Amino acid sequence: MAEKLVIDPVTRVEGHLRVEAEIESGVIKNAWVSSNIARGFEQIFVKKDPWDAPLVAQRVCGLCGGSHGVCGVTALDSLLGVDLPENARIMRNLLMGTDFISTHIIRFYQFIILDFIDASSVLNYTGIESTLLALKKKLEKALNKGDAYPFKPSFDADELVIKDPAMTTLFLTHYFEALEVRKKAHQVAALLGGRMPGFVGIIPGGVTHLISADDIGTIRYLLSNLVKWINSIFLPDVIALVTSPLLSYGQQGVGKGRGNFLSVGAFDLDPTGHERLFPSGAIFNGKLSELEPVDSRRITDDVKYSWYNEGSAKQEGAESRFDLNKKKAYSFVKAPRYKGKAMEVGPLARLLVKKDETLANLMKDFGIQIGVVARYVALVIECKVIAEAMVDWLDELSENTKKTKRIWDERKVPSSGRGVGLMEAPSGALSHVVEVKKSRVNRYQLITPTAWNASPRDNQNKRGPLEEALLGLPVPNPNNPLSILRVVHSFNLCMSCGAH
Amino acid sequence: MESRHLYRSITTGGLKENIFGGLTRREFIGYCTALAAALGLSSSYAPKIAKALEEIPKKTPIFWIQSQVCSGCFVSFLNSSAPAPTDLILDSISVRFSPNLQTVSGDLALDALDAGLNELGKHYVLIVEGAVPLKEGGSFAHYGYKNGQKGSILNWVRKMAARAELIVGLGTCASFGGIPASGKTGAKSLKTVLDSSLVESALVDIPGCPPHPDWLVGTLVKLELFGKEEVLKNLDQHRRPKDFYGELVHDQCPRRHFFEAGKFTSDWNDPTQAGYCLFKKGCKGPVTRADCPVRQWNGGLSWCVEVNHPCIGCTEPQFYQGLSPLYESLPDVSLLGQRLRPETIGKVLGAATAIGIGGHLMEMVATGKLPKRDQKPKKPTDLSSDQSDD
Repeated sequence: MAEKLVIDPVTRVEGHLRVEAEIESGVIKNAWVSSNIARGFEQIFVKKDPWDAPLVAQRVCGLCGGSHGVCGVTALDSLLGVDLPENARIMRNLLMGTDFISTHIIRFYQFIILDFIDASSVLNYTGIESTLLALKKKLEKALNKGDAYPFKPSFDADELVIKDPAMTTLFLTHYFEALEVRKKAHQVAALLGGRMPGFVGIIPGGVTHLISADDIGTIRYLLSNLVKWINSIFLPDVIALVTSPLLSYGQQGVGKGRGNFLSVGAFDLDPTGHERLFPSGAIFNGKLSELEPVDSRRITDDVKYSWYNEGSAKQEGAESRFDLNKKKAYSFVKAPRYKGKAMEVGPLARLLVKKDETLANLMKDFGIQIGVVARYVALVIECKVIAEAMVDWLDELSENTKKTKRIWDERKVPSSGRGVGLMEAPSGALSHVVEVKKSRVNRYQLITPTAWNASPRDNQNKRGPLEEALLGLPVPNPNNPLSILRVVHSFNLCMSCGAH
Repeated sequence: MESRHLYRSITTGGLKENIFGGLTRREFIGYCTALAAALGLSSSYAPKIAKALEEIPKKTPIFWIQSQVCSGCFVSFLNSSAPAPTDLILDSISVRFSPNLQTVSGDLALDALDAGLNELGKHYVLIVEGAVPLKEGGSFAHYGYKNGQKGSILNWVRKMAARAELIVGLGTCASFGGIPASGKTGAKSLKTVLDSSLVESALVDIPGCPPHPDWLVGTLVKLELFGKEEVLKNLDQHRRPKDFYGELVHDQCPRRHFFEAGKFTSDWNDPTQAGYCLFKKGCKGPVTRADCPVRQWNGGLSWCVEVNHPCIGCTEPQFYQGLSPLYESLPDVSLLGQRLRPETIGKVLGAATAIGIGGHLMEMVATGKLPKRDQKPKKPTDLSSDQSDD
């Protein structure tokens, strides 16, 4: 007899997420994931000045808004026929990079790690490390007063919750260090774009300012801090977690899903965009060696199970006219598909498509299968790759500004036309399509990373990637659904993006 | 065992300082001075703040509800520099409910919320992030699932606001409707969906897209140090604390003299224009109240105009739709329902405080320092009313 479990709200994600699961004999037989909050963003762009779009698009998501801004401005560039100055290309890459670093750190330390921590275990720490003792003292006081929020209340510790008090205390120490360190990524963004979140300074055709030599120096200092922290804390933390307490969990490939991966590519490394830090590509059924090129015309967007009018499935995003009374609909998220398949997107997809050696070696050496643990590993490797690349880009920018100060290619908005921005945001593939009539936005469509990962069923009644990854998952105690949350959190969801 | 030991020595070896406090007296006073600055107070308040801080027995309980959000306000809060988020979470606030931070999910989170409400009586702060949609009975924002029932955010917010000591409308969406208000979900501001008596007695709005962390943290610290009355007595007509939203961006702008001198940026590529006034690029500084030019962002590093980008007016009731197009210079405006040309605004200014274009703008027009094409009337912008109050 199947039992229905509802988790609403799922916490430690961005936005609103609801998970429903049918559990039979302690195993998930069927799953539905949804978001019940929508703003109707695509309608907000309509009839406005196209120039506004990138600034408005940033407000789709407060976690990865920078990427929405850059994707939106890229769509505008393509509409205007911009020849992007090199300085602007590099500045935009740096800005996007700050988005990835900040988001990835929050993902792991604020969202994921508490799936493996019981804060009361800190009380059993018997070591002499002064920082850990300081945290122990603080938490001891809080726990005794019953005031250890947000760590308490917590779930009952299961077999995957870290047993060693020293490791628990260390991870919680790093929880707080991460809170402080990630601010440096946003400081880099502020120097490049005025403030963060919600940076400005990226405009159709380029950017609004060229950073000074002083600022380049400050950014170099902040980046070196970040690189050092990622290499000496973040990376060892993840490696320790996945090779010790989670070793067999990772080897079982829990939360694998269908094994379909999509990356549309990001961070143009040359003016043509041929060379990118993350290339595009598609992988089907876990066949990692069979990489297919991406044809963006094969992207569709279904709404059969979403609260929108049944329109034709359009390649750049389904129309967003709400229909809250639609039968069978259960989410504000739509169901994007590539060649008709549900695709996982995000750091793991990008690194598999990139054939990243660090990831491949780690997975091979420790026997880690595709799944929850592989997603954690991809998250930290990608954070490192981007932070280190940013140091190079800064040098490149510094050199380039000696050659030219050009930052803007001024073009007029055409009376009608269409522009496309297709790139990777921290949680995965993102596309913005803008259509202009009488020099005003006539249509603006978004397909977001979380729409890919947390999509409901499609027109063929096929589940989305997260729904698929939950199938077969053991849930020994439905009142303590830690096993479900681990799979959910591994997908780096931004539900506000997802529903938008 | 050995490898883990090695691992620990690697990962803690890089830690030069202890991030969990143990402040010396001198550091503590320095911290209080920073707090005073965050509050918009002079440093002479530092000893008073120190005394009050030492006497505070308990952390402030916070319930943080997200409605139609992007979580940008939350992420901006994490960028707080003095006090740092570590100190806030460990020493100053009890995060009783937060979709982003809370360990438990689902029923356990909702149970904790109910238990907290029962335990705390009236002694908690409710932070609402995001607009509240009213169309279709509030169905554009459902949250939580208990006893087989979904709850609308509207009901949640009303229930939790009823007893809160202080209600914070965090961000422009919660304060005025913000970007969602120009969509089709009936998105409204907090002050629109709450009883007016409750608004009067407990609501403070901290707009901004996103708001500066100091604006929120400063308000919370002020509540803790000086009490609710002190917070509520110093609000403007939009319920924004005057500590942070008292002055026009334009009046504090370091580029103001270029405005006076009629030097405007027109070409972003021209290095000679790099520090000029951005009025012609659409700067909303003349109608926007916030202390960004003075406070600066992300630990005092920069702000929008610093990078040659116009102020987008994100702390104002009419953001976004009422200030669009963002890159066109301020048009003639409709004030209190009447369409006015810039030349006539100056005459109204004496009587009306709702609008912030300075009188000098009129002088500029009069003396011809503004180029002709910036004087022509454009689509009127309603600068007088909260877009969610219609």
